[in-house]
Amino acid sequence: MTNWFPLALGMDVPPGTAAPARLCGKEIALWRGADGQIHAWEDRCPHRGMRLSFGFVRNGNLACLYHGWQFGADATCRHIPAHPELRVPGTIHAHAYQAAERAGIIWVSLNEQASADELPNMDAFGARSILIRAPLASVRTALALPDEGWGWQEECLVAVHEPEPGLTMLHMAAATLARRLDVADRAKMTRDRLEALNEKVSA
Amino acid sequence: MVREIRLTGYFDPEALQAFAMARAKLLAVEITEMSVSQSCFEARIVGEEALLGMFEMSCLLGPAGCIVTGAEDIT
Amino acid sequence: MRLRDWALDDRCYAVRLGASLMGVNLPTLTDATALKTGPALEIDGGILHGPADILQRLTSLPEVSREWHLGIGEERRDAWAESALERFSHLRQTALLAGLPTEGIPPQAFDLMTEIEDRLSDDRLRERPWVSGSHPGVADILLFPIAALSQDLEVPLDLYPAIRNFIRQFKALPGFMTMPGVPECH
Repeated sequence: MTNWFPLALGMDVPPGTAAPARLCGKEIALWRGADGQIHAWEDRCPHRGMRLSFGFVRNGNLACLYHGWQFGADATCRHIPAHPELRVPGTIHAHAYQAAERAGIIWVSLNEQASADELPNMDAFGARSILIRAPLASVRTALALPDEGWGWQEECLVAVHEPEPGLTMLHMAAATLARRLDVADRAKMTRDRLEALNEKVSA
Repeated sequence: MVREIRLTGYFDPEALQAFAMARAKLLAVEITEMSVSQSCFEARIVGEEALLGMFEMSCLLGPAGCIVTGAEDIT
Repeated sequence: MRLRDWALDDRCYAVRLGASLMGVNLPTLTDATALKTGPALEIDGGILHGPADILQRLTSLPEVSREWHLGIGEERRDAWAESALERFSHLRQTALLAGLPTEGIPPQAFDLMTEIEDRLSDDRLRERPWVSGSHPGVADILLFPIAALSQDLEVPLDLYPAIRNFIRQFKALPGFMTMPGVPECH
C-alpha cells in the first residue's frame, strides 16, 4: 500500500510562499523557504487555529497571518512577536507531515513511517494540476491507473488526489520541458472527457 | 514563576480540564494543582510569566460549551 | 474626471485598482446605482460605462505610462476578461444577497474559475507572464477581482494553482490597492 499522495506541482509552491491543499478531509499547508526545501504541515496554527497557508515566509520560517507566530523548518515555534524576549519552549510546534518532491510533484504522507522507495524516481517536469469534477475512483478507472499510486503513461507521469469527495485533482508531469504544453493539453482533454462522462452518469 | 488563577462561569468540567491540560502541555506550563466544577476552575500554574499569561488567556476563551464570566488572580 | 463608485462592488474595485496601478488620481462619488449598473466615469462632459471601456480610457490619459498599452502583436483579451467579471459579479451578488444559506457552490462558479485557470496555466507554460502579454494590462485588472474575491463564492483556491500564482504576482505590483475582502500581500 502506498502512503504518498501527490498534492501539487513543485512549481506551484515557489520559494518563499505557502499554499493550501486538502487530502482525506485534512487541510494541509504546503510551504517552501528560500532554501528550496518543501514542507507540509497541518493547516492550523497551534495558537488560535488560524490557517497557516494564509501565512507568509520570512527568514526560513512560516509566520501565521493572525498573530505572527513564526515556525521554523522543524515546525517548532521560533518567535512570538508579542513576547520578543521570550525564549519559546520547544513544546510549541506546528504538526508536520512527511513531504518529498519527486518528478516535479510534491508528495505528502500522513504516515510517519512512509518509505520514499514508493515515490517515482524518474526526472519529470510539472505541466498541470487540474481540477476534474468527478469522483476519484472513476478518474482512476478511466485513466487505467492502479487503485493506489501513480502511473507513467506515454512519457508522462500521471497522479491523482481527492481534495474532497466528488472532486479530483489530476497532476501531470512531462518527461521533458518541451513536452509540457502537450501534456497540459492532454490534461485539459482528459478533464473535459471525464466531466462530460460524469455528467451523463449523474443525469 | 508561580500563579494561582480562578475562573468562574458555566463549564463542562471534563472538556475544560482536558483543554487546560492540552494547552499547558503545548505552552510548557506545569499545572501543580487543579480543580474543576460546573461553575469554578482553579489552577496553580508554574512556568515563564509570558507563557502563564498565554495559558490564562487560552482558558478565558476556553473550549466549546464553556463560558467564562469572571477571572481573578488568587496567588 | 470622477468615478461614480460603490466601494463593495467588484467592477468598481477593478476601476479604482486600475487607476491606482496606472498612477491616475481618480476622485470617487459614492453612488448606489453603481451596485446595479457598475462603475461610471464622468469625463470630458460625458459619461463612460463598463469597466473595460473605462480602464481603456484611463490608459490613454497623458500621465499613464505607455506600458499599459498592448505590445505589438499582442492579442486583446479585454472583452473576454470583462465578460468574465460581469458573470462573476452576478454570481457574487447572488451569493452575498441570498436571504438564506445556499446549498453548495454554483456550477457556473466552477466553470468560470476553470476558464480562467486554463488560460493562466497555458500562458505560464508559454512564458507569457500576464494575461495581457509581457506587461499587466486592462485584462489583468479585470480578472484580478474575480481571483481575489472568489472566496465570496466559497470556491476553494487549493483547486486553482495558476489563479493563486496570479493573485500573488498581481499583489506585488507597485500601486496595488486593497478592498474589503482583499488583503495586502505580505
